[in-house]
Amino acid sequence: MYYKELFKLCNYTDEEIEKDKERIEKVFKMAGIGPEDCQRGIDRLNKYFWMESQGVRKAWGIWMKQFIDLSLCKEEYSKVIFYTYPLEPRLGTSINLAGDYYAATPEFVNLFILGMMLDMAEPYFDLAEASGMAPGAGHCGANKMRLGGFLKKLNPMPDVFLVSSFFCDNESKTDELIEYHFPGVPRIIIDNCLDSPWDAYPNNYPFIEDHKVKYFGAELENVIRELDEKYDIHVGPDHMNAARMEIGKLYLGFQRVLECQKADPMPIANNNLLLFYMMITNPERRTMEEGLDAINMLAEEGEKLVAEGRGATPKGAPRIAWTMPWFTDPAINSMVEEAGLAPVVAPFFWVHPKDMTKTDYHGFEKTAQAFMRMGMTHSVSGLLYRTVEVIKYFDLEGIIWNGMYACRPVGGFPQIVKKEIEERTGVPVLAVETDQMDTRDTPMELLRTRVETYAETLRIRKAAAK
Amino acid sequence: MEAIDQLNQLLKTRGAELRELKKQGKKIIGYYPGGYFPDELVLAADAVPVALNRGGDHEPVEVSGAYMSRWIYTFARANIGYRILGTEPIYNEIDMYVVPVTDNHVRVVADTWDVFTEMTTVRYGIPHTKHDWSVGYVATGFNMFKDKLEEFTGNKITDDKLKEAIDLCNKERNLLKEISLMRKSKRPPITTKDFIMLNHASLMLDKKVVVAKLEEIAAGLKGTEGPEIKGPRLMLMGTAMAYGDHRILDFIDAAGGTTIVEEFGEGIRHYWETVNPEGDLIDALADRYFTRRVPPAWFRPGTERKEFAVKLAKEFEVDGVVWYQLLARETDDFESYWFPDVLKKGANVPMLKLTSDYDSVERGQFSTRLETFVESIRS
Repeated sequence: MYYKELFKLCNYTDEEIEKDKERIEKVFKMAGIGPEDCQRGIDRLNKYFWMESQGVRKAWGIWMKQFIDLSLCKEEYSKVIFYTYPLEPRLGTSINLAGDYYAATPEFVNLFILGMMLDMAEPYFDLAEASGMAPGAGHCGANKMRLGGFLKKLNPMPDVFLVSSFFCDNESKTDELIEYHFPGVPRIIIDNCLDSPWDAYPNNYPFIEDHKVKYFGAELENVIRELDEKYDIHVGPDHMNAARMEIGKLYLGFQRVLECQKADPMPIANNNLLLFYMMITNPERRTMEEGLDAINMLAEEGEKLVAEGRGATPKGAPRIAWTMPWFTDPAINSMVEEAGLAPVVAPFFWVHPKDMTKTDYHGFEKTAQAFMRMGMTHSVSGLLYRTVEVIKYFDLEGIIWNGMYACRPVGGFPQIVKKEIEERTGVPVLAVETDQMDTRDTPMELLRTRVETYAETLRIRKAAAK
Repeated sequence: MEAIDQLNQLLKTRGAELRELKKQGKKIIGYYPGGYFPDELVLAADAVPVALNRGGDHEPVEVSGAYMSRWIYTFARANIGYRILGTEPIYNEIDMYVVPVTDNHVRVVADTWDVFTEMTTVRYGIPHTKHDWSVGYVATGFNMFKDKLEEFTGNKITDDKLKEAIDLCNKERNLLKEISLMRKSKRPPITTKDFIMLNHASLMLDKKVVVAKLEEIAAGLKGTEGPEIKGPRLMLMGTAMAYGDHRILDFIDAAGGTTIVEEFGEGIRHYWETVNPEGDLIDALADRYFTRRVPPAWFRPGTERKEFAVKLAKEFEVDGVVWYQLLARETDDFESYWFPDVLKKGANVPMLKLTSDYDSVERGQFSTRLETFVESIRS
């Protein structure tokens, strides 16, 4: 059992490992994960993550279980549904709650285990690039991993794809490319239009334009109807309601962790938070079962650190938002802390108190409104509004806007972000072009030079302000 | 032909003409030319529609680097670049900028104008798929735009005025179609470079002038033949064919090919369908502009465009397709992967893919690759 130590580090018990032995070995064989890879994984986890934390270990266990489940789902569930990130999270969860169905986003599970943990992601990117996602054309690394997972036959073909067409253009075309390589798997497209006037979000928030709520609501309803009528997958209103509750628990539970991050010194390093960011926005079966426990464990551990005045970075380190941590290389996330900065939060995962404002919408329209309230999923001005609110709430001194270059919905406008945030808050913004999924496109040492210089600037500003 | 030369000349002086119209109190409504802008509404509001359709120059693309990511596609980057540079008068004469939001690239165009210019954009969204309720969303957007126009111009858009505008625009579309179809001939009486210029004129000039000139041109071309075509007949298709971006047509000519027909998502008026002016006129516009318009590469799924390209290739009897995409528009890049197969199976023609960033350094490789492509078809 060359993998035993790795699994124990991921909070598996001896009994769980023994029970899952056959499944683990089958999947590791498919993925070509051997003893050296496991040792590399152990080294990376110990070097870059807070493995003394039960919450972090449990979170890694959840990701590992999801990785094993993902490759075997076709054999183990009556129906398999794959969706692209971001799906409206309540939708995927309601499907998982509704029966013997398996709904998941393969690319993020693969990125965490094959990329972040084991450093084995590159062959998947290479294969995708040779198969329709040309290098240098600005294709998303997550979508390359999605395609690569199928081409390498690590991930099975689902019974139906749910295509996120409401945020990103690259995702839905990736699914068309998958259809080209693997014809015959049906797709349900879930659309929306990011077409609001510039001032609509800040003027209306927490409310969203009615015609947008109705359109996106109709799209969500269509998914459930088509699943029912065409694919024998039955999700009822009760499941949707239950999903809303479950997602709410995860999100609000995680806010308890983020509350800890308001302390100085910052208690939890950003690599660890990333495991949870993607869990709450992309909740799959194992997250529904164990995610809240992991979150609560981390919150307790974080609160203890705060009480003891201990932190992952020195007291007084400039507090910044690191907009999107790396999914495949934890060394880059750690580098920000090594530079003397405290990346306390990624702004997209904080729940604004007004998100809870009561609404007259029901059912799918209520879900549609909740989704667009998140700001980023509504408009660039929505994203900016939320970022400014995060700066105020967490008392930030800077932002490194590492909007992924191949992600047009988030990375297409760094100049707007820099201008608007600096004008509205006085907080300096460092905008860097990066790819959080595919580290081949981000020379770390170039990035380090810029981050260190920025850190020095923030320290000087801080000293001058005293 | 004189009328063609006249339209060409008018395109060059359109900026000055717009300035005069402004002095007379006309409102100039600029728009992003993605094929989802109903000129009819603007004409019915007694305002002047004009596409911000310039492209082909590298300087505005370079200038855009201070305003948006370099991973936004070339035509969109050039759009803000022309405005900032001030070298293209039309971009600075408009009173309102309308951006029908199709994808994240075009959305960034609107955001960039909102943040970096004094112009506030007007937007409405175009759904990416044709569900039953999608057309209603388009109609809602058109209605919101109509209300905005009425408020902005102070002119009521009545059904009578709208019908009149629809009639004028239908005439223009029918004339463009009539002239376009003449290129099916073994000896087309008009070059595709000239036809694209006529199409651009329809996006940028006074509609009544264009219709009159198109009538003249159609009548003049009818029954005539152009010079004998010696090289392969080619279809040019891709992301956007902007006004000023004609180098690619010249390169094809120089390589020994002849461009017979074009199919572009942006920068070209889609003239194949007319508006059916019955019932609710906004619904009629939504039907024409959304339901029956063959959508570009950002649409999902891209089935209609595949079928349409094969149909054009067959009907215009082309020997090959030059796929001209602009840098970083990833939806076109995806389609470029499967289109060779689609065209081979559907029309038995090969495809050459070229990617441009409106940069002069492309000339050498474009020429070499086009010459090789033409030669391979000949052999």
